[in-house]
Amino acid sequence: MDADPSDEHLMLAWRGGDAAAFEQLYGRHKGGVLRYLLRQTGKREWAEELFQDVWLKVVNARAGYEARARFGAWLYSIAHNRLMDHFREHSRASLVSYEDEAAVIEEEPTAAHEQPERKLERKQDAQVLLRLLDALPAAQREAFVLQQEGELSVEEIAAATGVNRETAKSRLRYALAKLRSELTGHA
Amino acid sequence: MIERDDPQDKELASLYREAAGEQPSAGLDARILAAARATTTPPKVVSQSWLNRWKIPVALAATVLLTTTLTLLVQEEEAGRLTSPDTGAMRAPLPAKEAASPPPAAPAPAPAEPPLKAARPTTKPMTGPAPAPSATGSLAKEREIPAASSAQPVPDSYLNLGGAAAERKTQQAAPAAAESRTDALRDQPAREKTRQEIQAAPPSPMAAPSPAARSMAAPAAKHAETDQRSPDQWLDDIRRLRREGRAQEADASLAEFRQRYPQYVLPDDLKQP
Repeated sequence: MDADPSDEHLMLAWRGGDAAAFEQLYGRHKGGVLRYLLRQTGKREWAEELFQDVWLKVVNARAGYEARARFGAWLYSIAHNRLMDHFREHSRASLVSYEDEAAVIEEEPTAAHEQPERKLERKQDAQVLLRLLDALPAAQREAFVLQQEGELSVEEIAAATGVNRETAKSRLRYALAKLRSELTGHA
Repeated sequence: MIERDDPQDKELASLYREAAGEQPSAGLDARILAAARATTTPPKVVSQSWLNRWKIPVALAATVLLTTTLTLLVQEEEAGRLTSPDTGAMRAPLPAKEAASPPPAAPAPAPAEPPLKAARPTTKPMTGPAPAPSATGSLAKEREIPAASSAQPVPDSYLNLGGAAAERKTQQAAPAAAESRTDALRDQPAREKTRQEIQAAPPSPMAAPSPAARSMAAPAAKHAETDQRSPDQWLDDIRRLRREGRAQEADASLAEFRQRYPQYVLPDDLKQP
């Protein structure tokens, strides 16, 4: 196997019976998936529960896995679907917040490069960023986190979240603008 | 993968990476990795010890051996019963064997008399005075060794009597056999005489062979049927023989009865000759 095999390579190797391939794959993505779920649920307890469910689904899908899409996109689509199920079971309010984003998304956010640049103190700003992220609408927050944690493209974000490309792109753009604006405002 | 024209903010991305450092707990990692290993680990082949591998075949072999042994034992036991004097299997051939030896002129009576006489010559003394003492002694010995009283060898049927009784009879047969042979030799002239009398019998008894021959042949036939009769029936037959004047046959049959049922208490009418 290569020194740094791709996610798809590792997944196929694991499908072939290489348990170590899964361990490597898991190590690459476990933090991102947990943080994605943590950002969306706001509770560590829920995040870990959903985290386990997501990876068990990956384990169970081992035999039938085919590298039709990028592994990251596939993984986070599983996480998104599990998240939606959780919202349906526990919090109708969170689900409503996703739906309510439609009107907001249509607004054209201010381009990030038009914001006045500010020097950010890293540590404080990082904590502020997390607070600001929590304050974002769920759909926008999800788009931002999927890009950051899963390195998903707009196309992949759209596929994972079940929306069209433009909607995904708007959500992401709005999230970035909002965060930049708020962060600048706190500076 | 993030596309080039995708909206992105590298500063925010860098800041986010510094802020977001949460990781799953070790327990959570262990559970998930264990689940993943379970799908890839082949089932462990439990090597059986020699005993576990062979216990069923050994048990089957032991069962077959035991069954076969028991079957053979039962068969041997059945065979032993068949060859005992009670079944009369050995008794039946005797008349046929003896039938070959007597002269053809007297075929019917000859087979009947000599075998009985030869086998148990001690019965002869019951009809004559001379052999009386030997008869007494022979009779006494007859109870001990009923079959070992002639020049003929002890019938196998007696030797096959079960258990210690047969052994005792065998052990006593050796010295008593010699004495019995002496008796047999003493009685031989009498037997010869009897045979000659039978052979010299007028033709009329032989001319009317049908009833006489039948009556003479009857004991032979009845001899073969002895073991089929009950003791009472046998004694009745003995009485009938005496009534018909066939004392010798009656005595021979009585002697045979005593051999067969040594413990049987004879009725008073048969105790005396």
